[in-house]
Amino acid sequence: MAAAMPAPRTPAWLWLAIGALFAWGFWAFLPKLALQSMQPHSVIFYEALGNLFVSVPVFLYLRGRLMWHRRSVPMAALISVMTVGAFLMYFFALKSGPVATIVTLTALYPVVVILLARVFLKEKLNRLQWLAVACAICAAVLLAG
Amino acid sequence: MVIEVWLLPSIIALLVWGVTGFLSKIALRGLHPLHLLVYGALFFLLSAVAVQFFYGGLEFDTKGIVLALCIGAAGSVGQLMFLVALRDGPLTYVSMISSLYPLIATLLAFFVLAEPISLRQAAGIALGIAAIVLLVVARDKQPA
Repeated sequence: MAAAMPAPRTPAWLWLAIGALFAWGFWAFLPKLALQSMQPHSVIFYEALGNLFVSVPVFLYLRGRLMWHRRSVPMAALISVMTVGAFLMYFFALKSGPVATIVTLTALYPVVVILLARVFLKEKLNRLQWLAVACAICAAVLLAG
Repeated sequence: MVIEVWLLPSIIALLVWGVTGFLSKIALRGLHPLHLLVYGALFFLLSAVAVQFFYGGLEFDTKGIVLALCIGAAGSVGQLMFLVALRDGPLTYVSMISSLYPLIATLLAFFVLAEPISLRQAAGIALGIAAIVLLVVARDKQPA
């Protein structure tokens, strides 16, 4: 009698990707609840503290040693300053607007990345990317209306 | 035509996140993603402290603080899971699955807040998610 074939195991990366999906879903939704009792500037401060729950263990995992790069580290600082500004805007929007619409609208930012990469890094867009850009613009118009 | 008050800040957030996504692409040329994650958290905290000077100080509300800490933790946990998943999994599937997070937020808004969704919004959300999926699939087909 042939031995029963073992059931294929779900790969770890799939669970991690699903974990990221749910984590980011909550990350996008929870500000709506937090903003019911605090202003955006306070929420952003405590959010920054919440980031440390992960970044401190990662820092320890890296044995407390961080790479230094003359251009990338100042750029990381600039990115963080801009991200805080973007979060403030996102929180102001969420305070008065619908979660589903605002989360979907702001989640379209990869389109902006692609267009910037096209202009400044001369990266070429394939047909699917142009189709995605068209879909994103239509989505933005529908959501904004 | 009435423009909703949430529209302008949403579009600004969309554009600024687009620019930061582009800058991260450049920053990653010189830094490992985990190092960028730690630097990002550190500079994010410093920037968040600086913001307080413009708003006359912090508020203290236990429920709000717990929720906001959860926002930060959820965002970073998501980022870490995404990076670790990318180490072993195919970029396309990992990105496609995790980038559908607006769907989770929409479901939470519907069930927790009973937020109504109009037909027009539903069409916009569906097209937006289609755009995100297309972007992820297209990235896999990008010539090296």
